[in-house]
Amino acid sequence: MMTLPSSTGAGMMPLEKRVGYDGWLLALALILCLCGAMFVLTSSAVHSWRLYHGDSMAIFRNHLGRLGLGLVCMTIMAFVDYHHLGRIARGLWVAALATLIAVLFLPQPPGATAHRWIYLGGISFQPAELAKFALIAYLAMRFAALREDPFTFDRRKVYRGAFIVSLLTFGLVFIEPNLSMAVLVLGTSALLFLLSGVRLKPLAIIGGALSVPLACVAWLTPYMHSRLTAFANGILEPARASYHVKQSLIGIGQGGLMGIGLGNSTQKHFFLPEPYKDFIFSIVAEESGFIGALLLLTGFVLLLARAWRVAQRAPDGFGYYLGAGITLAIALSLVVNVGVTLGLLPATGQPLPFISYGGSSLMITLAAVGVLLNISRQSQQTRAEGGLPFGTP
Amino acid sequence: MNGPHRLRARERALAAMLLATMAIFAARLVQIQIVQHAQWSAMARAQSLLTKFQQPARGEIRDRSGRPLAVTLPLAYAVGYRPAFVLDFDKLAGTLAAQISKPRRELRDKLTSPGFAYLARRVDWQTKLTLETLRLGCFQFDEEPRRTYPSTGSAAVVVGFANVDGSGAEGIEASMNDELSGEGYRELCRVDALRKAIAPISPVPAEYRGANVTLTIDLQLQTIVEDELREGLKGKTFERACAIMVDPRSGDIVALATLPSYDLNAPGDAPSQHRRCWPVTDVVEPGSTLKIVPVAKALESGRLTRDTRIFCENGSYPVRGAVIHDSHAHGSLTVEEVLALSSNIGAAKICQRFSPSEIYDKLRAFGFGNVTQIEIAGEQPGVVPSPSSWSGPTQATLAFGQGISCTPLQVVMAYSAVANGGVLMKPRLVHAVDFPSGTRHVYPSETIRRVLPERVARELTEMLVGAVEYGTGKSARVDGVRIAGKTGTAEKVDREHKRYFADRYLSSFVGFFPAENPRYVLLVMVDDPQGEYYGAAVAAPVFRAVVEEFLLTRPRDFAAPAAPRQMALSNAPSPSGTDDLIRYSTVYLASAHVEANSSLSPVTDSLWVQVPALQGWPLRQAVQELSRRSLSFVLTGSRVVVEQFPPAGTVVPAGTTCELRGIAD
Repeated sequence: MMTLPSSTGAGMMPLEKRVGYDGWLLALALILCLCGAMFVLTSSAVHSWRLYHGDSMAIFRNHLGRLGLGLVCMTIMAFVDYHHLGRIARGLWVAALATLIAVLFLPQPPGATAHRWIYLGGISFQPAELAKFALIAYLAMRFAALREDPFTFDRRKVYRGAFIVSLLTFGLVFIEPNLSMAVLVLGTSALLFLLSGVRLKPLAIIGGALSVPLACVAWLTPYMHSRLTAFANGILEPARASYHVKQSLIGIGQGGLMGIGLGNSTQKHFFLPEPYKDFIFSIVAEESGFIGALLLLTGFVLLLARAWRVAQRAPDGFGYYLGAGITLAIALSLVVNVGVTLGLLPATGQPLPFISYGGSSLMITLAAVGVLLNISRQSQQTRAEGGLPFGTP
Repeated sequence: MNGPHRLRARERALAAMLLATMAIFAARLVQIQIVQHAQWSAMARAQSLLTKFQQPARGEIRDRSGRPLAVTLPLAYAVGYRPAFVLDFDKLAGTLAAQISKPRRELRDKLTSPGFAYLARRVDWQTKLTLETLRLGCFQFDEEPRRTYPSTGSAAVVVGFANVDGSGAEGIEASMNDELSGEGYRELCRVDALRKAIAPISPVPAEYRGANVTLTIDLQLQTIVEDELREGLKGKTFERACAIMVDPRSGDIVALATLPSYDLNAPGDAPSQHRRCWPVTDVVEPGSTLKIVPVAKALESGRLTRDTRIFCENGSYPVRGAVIHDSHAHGSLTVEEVLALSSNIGAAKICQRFSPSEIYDKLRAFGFGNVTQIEIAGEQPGVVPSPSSWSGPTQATLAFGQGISCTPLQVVMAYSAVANGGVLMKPRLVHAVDFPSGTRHVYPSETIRRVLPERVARELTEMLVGAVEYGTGKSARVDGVRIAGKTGTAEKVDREHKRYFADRYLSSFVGFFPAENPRYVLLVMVDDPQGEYYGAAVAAPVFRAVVEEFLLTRPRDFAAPAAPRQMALSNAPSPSGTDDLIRYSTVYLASAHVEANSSLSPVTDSLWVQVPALQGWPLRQAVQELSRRSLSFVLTGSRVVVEQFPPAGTVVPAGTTCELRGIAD
């Protein structure tokens, strides 16, 4: 009996085998981007009308442009061997660190209290986003080396180096100040440490030691303090939440089961400060109701599960840690954003990945999805060649 | 130990934590969206629905023919600026200064100030468009209706202006503010966080608009009066001047001009004394124009006739505690000549023939000392001293308008009473108010009282014609129309020192025309003219210029009775010769027909007419035919037309004077 390679018809093959990379991941990411574009349109129209003097589509058009740019980044990253990232990880991190230092001395828009943005020809860019990605790449590179070649590298030295690098990145983001982003950086790196196989005890000790001064700083910095107390008031008694969180909850609550209909949000009429950015989830829940919000969260869970699967099936340690780091970063952003919108976390300004109005966050997220796609593609090649994915027990 | 199994366990733990978090989120969504849905919805409604009290668009002010005097433009904007990332403030300030007429420095200060600032108010949509093309994104445009005055300076003190907040500050804008503003109404709106209405929920009824106010002002006549006042006083120095024109039959104010005038669209540039309607709100001592009161009293009483002779003391007449002077010394004058030549002594002597209360009552009957209730806020009644407070010379000086204060409006209304056959009318400034509901409230002409018997009014009119034809008012004479009028030159009161200025005067001329069927009464008053100061020299020429312009522009306004009456001539000596007298007595201005509603005078519709062939016609019929064709005429001779000019068949402008020669007597 002869089995022709072509006899397993293309139409019958599972999606991933046919296209060579994880098609579900790509599809989920694109679906989320489409949902995002739709909600950016409905939530930004009023603000756009005012900011751009009667042009209600201006913000949406900007978003589409940035989304396009992000998809280009994703495509490029999907075709560039992710191992190159490992090679340039150290340089990338140094460059990110340099921009983080530079941003502290660059002029910021009037009224801004923090140094967070770099303006390049009309496009604003948050170096902290790049630094987070660079840190993930660097940690992945170091932990992979440790895992695959445990006898060449001194465990202590690697962990100490990784720890210092994480702490430096965290510190520079923290003094911008951008507390939530700093927490995300620290959280992502802590979870990567966890997955690197480090023993729990030292991690817990260091975590505990760090959280005490952090708590003190947070308590003594007036804006952080007020947000924390408002949060504490609001979590149990939502009506006493801070203004923005309360407005977010009013929108969500008004949405009910089915929502009040696309475009009908009342909260986008300046009750929420930037409804197309950090509080877009509130608009989703208001306009499409409990069902819409739940569907969106489900979409995210599916995407994360798929990304997780890609990491697990990575052909090598670097792929595994890189994929895991990206997945964790997206998951943490999601949790922080939705948590804030629902009044379950202190108010901070974190965009919802894929959904919020584009900027450096959307671009980096899509580029990271490109990296995941590249990993999935290489793992399928490895399996096709009979290799086992990294991390197989 | 460090193997993949522990890794798997940690992976699973992380996945479980994520799922647990999602479960918490879902639970929170259930709590907020399902359980507490009603509570949050109520909060949303409370903050996004608002019952707003809306002020409707302000009504228009129009002249009697509907020409706009004040309108509200919807497309005006306030320009706000919120601090932005603008690198070159100097350059932007320069660009803005070119668009918004404000100093560059002031704009630059506003640009660099930390908070939100309004750069300009009430800019038009073109400016908005220009600023938007700068694409800076730091400007905010708030709609704000702008009150604007298309005929910027016309009847400025009458129309008045509205404040930035939309309430009237002067003139009709202030006095008719309630009608113009209209009733506010409640409207349920959806609002944004800035309490700005996004969309009305309750429908806006159409009748919520301000009412439109139609004035009795005739913009065409107003323009003539304004232009001639300005022209006539060009090059002269004076404090202020006014001209008021009234239709005596209805009391309609058809024109009211003041100098210096001001631009209603920029009221802030003018001082307040030029913005108020001072012919109504300020009092003056009127001077010789008041002499008609004692003369009217004299004629009415029958104790004197127009031919009664009065000795005028050759120019100097001591009365108790004062000496009255005439500008020219006169010996014996008839009552008619006292008026025509404006003898103070003669007037004082006429006055002294009556008891104080008789004079006082007559003054009050003419409307002095009472507000006329014209629709202008802040009207002054003036002061007529009651007889009990009269000092020695008061009765004598009142005769020529000293020791009494009145508004220019009262003077013109008193002459209107004479022109109207002795019936005093209430001055009417508002013709009608059109409410948005469709109802029209017409303000009726109101008769106040009969001041004089018609016979006396007619006699007084003839005496005033004499004043223009051979008396002090000669400089107001116009070929082709008989004018009745009186000059006045009053010494101004020095309030500080409680005496009269030796060198400051109030010059005026008030008259009406055509004398046989008065259509318009016009007062021209010049306050404190420098150089020539006699009413005859300053005010009367303006009067003449206005009448001449009228004859050219509105010939049909001068509707004469079908058969012109031969007016009795004064037998007084004529400085300009007998020929002139005859000529003037036989010149009549005629018009095709008396309009049924003459208070609304349309612009002449037929401008050119053909001269008919009249040779051989009886004069009376010939005159009627000319009247029918809107032609004026000059008659010589009597009975039958022998000769005519222009010849029959000539096409001439309406109102042209045709010469008809009858059989020589």
